Amino acid sequence: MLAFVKLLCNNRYCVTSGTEICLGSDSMNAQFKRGIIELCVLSVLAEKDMYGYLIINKLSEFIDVNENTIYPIMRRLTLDGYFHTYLEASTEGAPRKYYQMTEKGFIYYLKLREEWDSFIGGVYQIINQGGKKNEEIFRRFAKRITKETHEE
Amino acid sequence: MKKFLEDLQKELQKKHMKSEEIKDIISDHEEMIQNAMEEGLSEAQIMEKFGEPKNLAKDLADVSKQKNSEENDDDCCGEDYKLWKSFEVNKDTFNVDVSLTQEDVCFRPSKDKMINVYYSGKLSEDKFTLKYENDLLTFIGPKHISMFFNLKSKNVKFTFEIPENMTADEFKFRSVNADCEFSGIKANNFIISTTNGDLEIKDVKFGDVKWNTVNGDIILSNAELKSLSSSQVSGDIEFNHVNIAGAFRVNTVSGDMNLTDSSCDELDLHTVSGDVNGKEFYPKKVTLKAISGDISITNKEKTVIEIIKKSSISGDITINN
Repeated sequence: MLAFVKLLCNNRYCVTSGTEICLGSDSMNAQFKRGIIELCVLSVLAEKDMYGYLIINKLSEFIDVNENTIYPIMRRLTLDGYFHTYLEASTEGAPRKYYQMTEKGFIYYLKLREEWDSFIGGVYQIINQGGKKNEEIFRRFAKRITKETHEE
Repeated sequence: MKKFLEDLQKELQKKHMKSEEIKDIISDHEEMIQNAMEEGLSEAQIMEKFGEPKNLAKDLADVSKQKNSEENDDDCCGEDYKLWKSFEVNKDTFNVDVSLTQEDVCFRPSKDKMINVYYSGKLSEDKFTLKYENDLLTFIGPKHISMFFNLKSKNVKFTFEIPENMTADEFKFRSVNADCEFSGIKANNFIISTTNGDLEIKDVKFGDVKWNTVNGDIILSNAELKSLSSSQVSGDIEFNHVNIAGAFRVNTVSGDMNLTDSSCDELDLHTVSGDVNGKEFYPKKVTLKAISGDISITNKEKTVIEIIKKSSISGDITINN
């Protein structure tokens, strides 16, 4: 997903160059973004228990996202009973609050994951119909445009 | 860093959040900032990573508001409910067929021979089918649940009033995520199927009951049933004062059953790891087919409980008087 967004940002064919499109801006539907982050949080916690800061680090390693987006999602998922928390001592200092996925959370994760796969699969079907290379798409587009102008 | 925490606290207070919630959030952030410092991040880097306290507070206030409104919706006949449609039942019986994805519903008795439908929240009438034709009440909600675009938008809820002294012939209810409450309902056939919704059923009189749940929990209290066939994956079931005249068949993977002050004829339990815990639970006969699920019953009164068949790997039947 990010690769796709970055491509849009840096692409020389991008008409609105200078307008930055990224996951952190409001230009993308905020709800949609939250849905994606929610799935990401669920995915990392499906693998193992983690403390808050680790979850944030894990996610921001791959996507451009701030603590202030992730934390409210973690809190809501916890209040909804998808995670429960426990304290564990750490070697570095104060005990850490670990988040652990519940059975309810796992079932929710599976459902969301399935929905995401089918949605994004469909999106890629659509956008890749003209091939995967933007240069090719652009060449075809440019050709069509010039042809149309000639016809006029 | 102190400033970030102070700002956050101020913003949360501005949003009128409860002090214990604020305390919890601040303590989480102290921990996370501490972790970031241990990792060697500079103050500027931390600020960058944590973003604006104002935005954070706004999102957190939304979470808390949403949660509180969900908790307050126990009352299914409050002031915010408006009458939508009414139908008169002019025969001795009627049927109900409800199929929803995520809207919460409550069924309760009405004083007269009317079926009254109330709603609370924002109702898009064109998305729902509600009709009463040929003695059948049909209610169908929008099929599509899109979690990504419509996160937790459980904003419309319904209450159905069903004629008090009448017995429905067939009562069908299907839902994916809806939580549902049934009280004071009578039906010859009661069929439920849910994925995630929790069900609360009380003060009811049913003939044959069949329910199917994946993850939803079911609480049944003060009920008279002819028979019950229950199939669940991980949802738990709780009984309080439930009498089943005939067979009680259960098929469960990991859902447990807690049965209190209840009775049935034959309990036929197929389980992988779900347990049955009975307290003042009086079945006449028991059949157990289990991997590791147990039946354990603690009763004051000693009655004959015949064990018809037991096949299990590590599951057991224990009866204490």
